[in-house]
Amino acid sequence: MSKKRKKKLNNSQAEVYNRKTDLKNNQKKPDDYDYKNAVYPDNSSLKVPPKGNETASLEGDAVLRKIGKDAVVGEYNFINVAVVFILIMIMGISFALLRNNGEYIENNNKISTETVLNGKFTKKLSKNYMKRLPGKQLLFDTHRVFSYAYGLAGFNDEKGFVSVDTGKIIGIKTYDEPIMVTITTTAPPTTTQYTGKTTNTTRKLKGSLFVGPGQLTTTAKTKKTTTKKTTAKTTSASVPTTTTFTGTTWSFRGTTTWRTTTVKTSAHTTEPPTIYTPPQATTANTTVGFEDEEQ
Amino acid sequence: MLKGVCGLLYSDLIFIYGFLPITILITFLDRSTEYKNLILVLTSIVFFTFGRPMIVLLLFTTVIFDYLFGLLAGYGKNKWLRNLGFVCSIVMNSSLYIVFCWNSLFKNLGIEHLTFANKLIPLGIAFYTLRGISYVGDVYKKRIKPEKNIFCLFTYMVSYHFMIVGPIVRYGDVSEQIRKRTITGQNLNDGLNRFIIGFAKVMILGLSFEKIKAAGLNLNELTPFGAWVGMLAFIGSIYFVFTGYTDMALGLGTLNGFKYKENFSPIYLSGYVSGIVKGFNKLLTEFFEDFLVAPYKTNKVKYISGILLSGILIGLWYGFSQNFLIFGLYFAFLVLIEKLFLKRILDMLPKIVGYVYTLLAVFMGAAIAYFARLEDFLRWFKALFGIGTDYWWSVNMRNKTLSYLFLAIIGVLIMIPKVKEVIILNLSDFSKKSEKNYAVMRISQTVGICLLLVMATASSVTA
Repeated sequence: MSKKRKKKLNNSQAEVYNRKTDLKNNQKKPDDYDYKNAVYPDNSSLKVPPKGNETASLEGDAVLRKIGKDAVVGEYNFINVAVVFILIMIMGISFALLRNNGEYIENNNKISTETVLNGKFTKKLSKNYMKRLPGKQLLFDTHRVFSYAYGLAGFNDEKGFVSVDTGKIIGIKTYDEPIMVTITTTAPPTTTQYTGKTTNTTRKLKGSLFVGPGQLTTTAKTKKTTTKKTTAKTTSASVPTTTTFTGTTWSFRGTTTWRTTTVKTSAHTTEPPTIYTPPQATTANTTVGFEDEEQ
Repeated sequence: MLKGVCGLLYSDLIFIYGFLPITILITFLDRSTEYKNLILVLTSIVFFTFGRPMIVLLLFTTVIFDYLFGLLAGYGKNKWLRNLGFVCSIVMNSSLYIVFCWNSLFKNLGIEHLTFANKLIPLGIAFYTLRGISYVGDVYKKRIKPEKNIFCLFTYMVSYHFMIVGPIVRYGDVSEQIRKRTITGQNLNDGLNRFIIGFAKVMILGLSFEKIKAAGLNLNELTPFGAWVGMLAFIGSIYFVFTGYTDMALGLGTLNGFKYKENFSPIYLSGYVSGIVKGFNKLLTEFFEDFLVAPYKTNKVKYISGILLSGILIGLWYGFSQNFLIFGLYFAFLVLIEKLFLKRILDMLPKIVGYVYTLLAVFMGAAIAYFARLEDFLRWFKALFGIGTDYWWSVNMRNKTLSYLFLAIIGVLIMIPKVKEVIILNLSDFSKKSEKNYAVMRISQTVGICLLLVMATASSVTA
């Protein structure tokens, strides 16, 4: 064998050897798998890197690599779709069937050509769906848990309102629609129907850095009130607490608000009361109702 | 948030957990595109008549007229006939738009036979009518050929994917896909993810900003803090509701094998107000620009009039009231002066000046859109500087801001494109490093999507 021929053979053997070791290395280290072009979250830009003058086998390797990459991406896509879709299906089926076996249709929502054509059937179906959603309490609680991560105050303002006196949250334990609470404070019945000063005393809450409407401050705000004398004897009189309301709104579930105010009234009586009046008549921490937050 | 709208919305639980999975399952029963189109049309009919009388379907008969006008505008023997086709389409669709979307006008004028109950006003009628005009207009301008198959046009016109908050898809962009499309695993993955991300945007971020806004802009207790933060929250709420619903629409499209154009571009303050106007609901802006501004670029008077008219029409398209009219004019005016001279001046000044100008301009624009009455606007404007207010902030405002502080920060970060880019780049780099990293990333993605779905559902029930 000529020297030239021997050299050529050695070179080709070396090439084969190199390729084999490359292959082995590739097998040994799966992390060397070409993720250079893999992007998150999809594989839209996966490309085979151009490698200049390659042999046919190397090109084949590149194609195989690409197929491998696609397979990996496809696998994760499949997992993602399967998990999310199964979650949707589980929730969907539980929402539809868990508690209300056929209740949507049987109870107050009769299916007929007329109700379908005038849209009443689907309208009621939609209403009932939300009304009788199973696990509603669970979802509320879930939201409550998540809402602690939404900000610093957690679920506080969602669930109740902050007492102006104590600064503590007055929790509302039910998730039902709030009932409008109107407490009218009554003053001792007098012949002179409520005269005198009405003071909206406010003090600053402990640890709060702000002063807002309805907040209590040490510097009391005093408003002039008119004196109205009546000659007729009254058996009872109501002192309206609409005096110097500078209330704040306290949100409940985002749509309903309360107004909380502390009204100190000093009633001047000229005659002893003829009718018993409850003690809260003079100093009342009154919740005077709620209003729609949306303007 | 889509006040006054009755019927089915993408964010309704009955849609997500009832309508959507059933639709997906039915769609996969057959692979042919014709079958998919048929299912799409049928499900769209259910979608639009959900909670409404079937009579609203009569509206879909206008597709026949749009089809005929399209043929006339495309194959008309002379220019007069082609013009006639286009004008007829504009008249018909504009009339529908005015009758349904500006229905309060007839109520105010006392025209009772044109005053409809809310339930008779079809969902997404504003997009429906614009699509009709855009189809015939594109045929008239020879951008596309007239569609001969009416069923294809019907699929395009009534598809519920883009009926609520857009995008305004042009027929030329989807005509091929209506004829032939395949749904791959990638489609399903991307579509589901995008839909859920959109749902979370609306129900978590949009709602949080909405609550801060409601507390801050409560006219009974306006404070300077509330006025500033409340209006910023209003911008955030609008942004996330619009982009969220659009993401849901695009996700639904992808689930069905469609690929629509993006409707929102990242907000770069360096583009000033013009950049924001172009990027926000950009398909709508492009639509009006195509028909009213672009053809008149050589004539300065017509060009200026075109911009102002586009502004007015876009404003009125958003809402039929004087504040929206002023809103449209305001932005058109700013775009105009930027084009004429302001941009050149701002480019010469330090960048921060341009940023402040853009932010303030958008801030005031949002306020114009928000307040329907001038006196309310003025009260709010004074409150910005503490005029007419006794306190700096209200308890309610403080509570709301603190309660949603982290979400608000996340929302603002999402709105800044550079931050978003950096996050995506880092995640991408991390996933590229090894197969293990990639796996971690993809599994985290799946867990995150599931978590978002549950959070948004819980938030939806509470809202």
